[in-house]
Amino acid sequence: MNQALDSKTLEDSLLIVKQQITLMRKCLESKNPQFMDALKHASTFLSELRTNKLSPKLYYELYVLVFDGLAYLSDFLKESHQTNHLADLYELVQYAGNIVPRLYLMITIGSVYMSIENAPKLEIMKDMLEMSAGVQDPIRGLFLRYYLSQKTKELLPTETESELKETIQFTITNFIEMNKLWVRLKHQGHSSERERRLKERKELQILVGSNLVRISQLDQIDKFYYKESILPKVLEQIVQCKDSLAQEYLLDVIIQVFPDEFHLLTLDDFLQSTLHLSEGFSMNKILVTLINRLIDFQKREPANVKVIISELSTLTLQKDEHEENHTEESDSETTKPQTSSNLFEKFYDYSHLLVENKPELNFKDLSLILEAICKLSLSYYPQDYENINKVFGFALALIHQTTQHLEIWEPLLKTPICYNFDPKLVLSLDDNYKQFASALPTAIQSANALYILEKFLEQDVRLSTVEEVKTLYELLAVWFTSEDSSDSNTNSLLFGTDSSKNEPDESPEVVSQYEALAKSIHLIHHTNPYKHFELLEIAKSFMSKSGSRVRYTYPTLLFAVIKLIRKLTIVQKLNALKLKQFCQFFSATNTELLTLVSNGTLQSEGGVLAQTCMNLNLSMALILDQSSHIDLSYEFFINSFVIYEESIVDSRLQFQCLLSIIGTLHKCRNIVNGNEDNFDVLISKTALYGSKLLKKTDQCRAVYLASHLWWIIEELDEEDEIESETAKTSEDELQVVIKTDNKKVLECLQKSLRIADSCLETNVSLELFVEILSRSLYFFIHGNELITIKYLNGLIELIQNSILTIGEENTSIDTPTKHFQRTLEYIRQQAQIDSRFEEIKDR
Amino acid sequence: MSSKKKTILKVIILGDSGVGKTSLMQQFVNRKFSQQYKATIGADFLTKELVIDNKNVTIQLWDTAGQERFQSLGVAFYRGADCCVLVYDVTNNKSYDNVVSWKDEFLVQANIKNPETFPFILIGNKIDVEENKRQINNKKAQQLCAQLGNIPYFETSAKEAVNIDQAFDVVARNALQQEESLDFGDDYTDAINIHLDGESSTCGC
Repeated sequence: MNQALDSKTLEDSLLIVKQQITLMRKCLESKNPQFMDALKHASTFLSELRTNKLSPKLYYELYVLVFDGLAYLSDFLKESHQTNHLADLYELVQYAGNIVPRLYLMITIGSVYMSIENAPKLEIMKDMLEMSAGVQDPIRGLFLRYYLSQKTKELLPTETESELKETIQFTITNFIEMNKLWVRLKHQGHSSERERRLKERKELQILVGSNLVRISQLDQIDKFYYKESILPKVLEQIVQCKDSLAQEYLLDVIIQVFPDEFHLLTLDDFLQSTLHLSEGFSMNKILVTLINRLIDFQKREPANVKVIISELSTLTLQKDEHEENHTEESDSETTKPQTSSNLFEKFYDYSHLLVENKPELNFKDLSLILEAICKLSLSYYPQDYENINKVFGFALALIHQTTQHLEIWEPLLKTPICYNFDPKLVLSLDDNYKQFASALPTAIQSANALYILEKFLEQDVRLSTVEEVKTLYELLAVWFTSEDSSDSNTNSLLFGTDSSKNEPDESPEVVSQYEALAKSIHLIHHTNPYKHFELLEIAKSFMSKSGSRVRYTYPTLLFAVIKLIRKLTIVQKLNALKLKQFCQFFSATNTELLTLVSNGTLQSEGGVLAQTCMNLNLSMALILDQSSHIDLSYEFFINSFVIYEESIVDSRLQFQCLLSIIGTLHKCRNIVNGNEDNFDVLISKTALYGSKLLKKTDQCRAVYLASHLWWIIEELDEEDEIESETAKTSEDELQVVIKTDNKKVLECLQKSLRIADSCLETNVSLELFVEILSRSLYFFIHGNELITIKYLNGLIELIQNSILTIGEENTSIDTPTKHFQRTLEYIRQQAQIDSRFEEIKDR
Repeated sequence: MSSKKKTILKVIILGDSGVGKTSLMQQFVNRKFSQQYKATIGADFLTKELVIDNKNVTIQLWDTAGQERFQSLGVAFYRGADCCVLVYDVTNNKSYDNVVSWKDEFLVQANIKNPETFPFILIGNKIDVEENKRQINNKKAQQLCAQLGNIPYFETSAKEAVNIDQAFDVVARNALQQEESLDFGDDYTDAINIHLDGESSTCGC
């Protein structure tokens, strides 16, 4: 309601002002200007500014219109000052009836007068300033003085030193008076309107600040002049006014409008004065603004910053000498503790003073201030980790005093990693940081840990010393302990053992933590593989604390070991003794994983983990074969078999595992050559496992696949083949024979054929027959003499009969029939390049 | 008679904080450039006398705070503007992206009667920087001009005084055109008509 009334008042006033301006302009712009009439119109529209019904924002709208209108009057006066003597006019308007229009007119004429050559500028300025004191209503007074400042801004004399002094005096006085009016507004009216007053005051703040802008625009002022003559006066007023709104705003303005180097030079004065500000003043806003400005300055003009800081230190030195000469040695220390030119120390010392002098300061503010100081140090002294340690030492002391709202400290915790290009900084910090982190809630620690680790991963930061590895994982310590200590143990106590078994549907947070953790293993790097291995051992010592979650990290760790062995094999520097260590480490770790499976912690997940363990073992066995350590390799194969027998219970997994075993064995070379007996043990066992699988189809396929283990032939590279394409018939020369055992192959094929035949469903048998035919063709091509034309023809006949029995039309055998047709087609094609195929019957 | 009439052209300069609005103005009015960064608080203006086609005009350039918190009294000073200069920093993508919203904000707050014909000018400042720091090229700027209604575009350097006078010459001419079109329009008589209405209503009370 009030607002509607306000805007109605405004509309009415705007209307009057508009018409009066139009009329005034008509008077001024006619051929024979009627100046006195114009003045009368001006006076009329200026009277609208006498209102006390408008809020500052609406009053400002009115003011803007009036300001624009008065500009026409100013211009006219300037053009016609020969005829209309300005000194006389200045006197004349003093007789206007009301004070507000009178003073606006006076300032309008006075400012034009100032622009005329040889005018008594300083006197006019002084007079206008004194007269302005006539309006003591805060809102009207503030706008009037704002008008004074706007109209005179381009005219203030600065030629000589005394002129400059007067100009500054003029502006500062106007500033002080405006500030007083502004503060006084707080105490006006009924206390129930306090909220509204506060809002109005906030709107008006810009007017007061404009004076400081004015001073900052005087180019004659250098940073020393500012330090000596400007800042002290301004700060004095700010401290004395005892009003937190004014203090907060004006300090902000100082920071914004004066150049960065001024702030650097006057930092001590500025910070000192803030210690005397009234309660309720939001310290952190000002400090954070100031520090951010200094950081920007450093980013923008690092060279300039250097110069100023060195200036600053010589200045401080001079000052010290000066003081020592004049005062007693003893108390010079106590009164002026800030002698350093180190910005960090200035702010750091200040933060202590703040805590001592301002007990009302809350922790939120302090945390923000420390965060800003931390950023400042990272920007100005990126290598000086001691600074950061100090900040966290202080933060640690503070955090011990409270247990509430600890989350406010999170941004500070993240600062060192967030604002530094080199994530390794965080590894160089001392215990303060870790202790500080561990004093915070687990969720925050955890998030910070992930944040740190992601930074490392993002930038691929290598960890190459024991210290680095240890420190990084210490920083992530919160992940390693939480699971066991917090939930599962208490749960199992409360609900019996079942609950702990009933485990892990891990939360997405935990999964992403451990994913990052697993990746972190790849950051570990040392050019010396044995040193590298030691680092891995350290990593493991941390990971081992994470209970069943080692299943996320151990496999990566084991692959890292395999990688090391491969590297060493390539450069042929694998030391047998060390290798034993590697193997022990590998087996021990793998066994730990298996324990998780055997004690049932993982339930359904267990089978998959067992499969992983077996595959890891197989990989190890293979790499050991490749590095010619065939006895060790044999051991790992045997271990794999043990895992297969003891831990793989699901029939589908069994089949998959068996495929992995066959595949791995087929890749072995050295063990075949070096200890064929051992190899035979392994492959016979494999074939046996195959024949014992649960399902007939699995049995059949495993056995015919196992047949390949007795027929290992290495094909030569494609390039070689292309070269000798013409001599295609002499195939024997294109392959290296590792192991060929005609009889065993045939046995396997026969066995699988028998299993296939024993299947109850004939269509399944048919499918398997066709598959066995394909295998047989392979062996035929590669020269297994027991796989003869006769044998193949027999198989083909078997298949054809089988199709006839089931009936060609039966859709259930579509797929095997097509497969069979393609196989026959293949035989026909082969016949064109290999005469042996011609004898195979096909129709 | 019209020669007697003094023309004041009100020009508003808008753009993100730090694009160089104050520097452009200082360079044009006082031929000065300062490396020091000082934020602008509220609204501040500079005036300059110009002669355009034998006509004396006073151009009043309003510099504004790019940071909203320094406009506590609102932007009433937009009212009565004759031209609006939109400034962005060619090394700062964000300042370019914000140009459109500055324009919209101006049209709303200044209460412009004919937004389609109101003169805007686009300035891309800081072309003195090395080519590799530049984020907005000429082509992209031209696209924006087309999008804003084919407004004139200038690339300037307040630091090295490149293209400043050329840009402000167009600003002044367009502002003058705008001012004249309003002056002889219905604005003049409108005020008086309403005045009569207003008078009678006060009598009624």
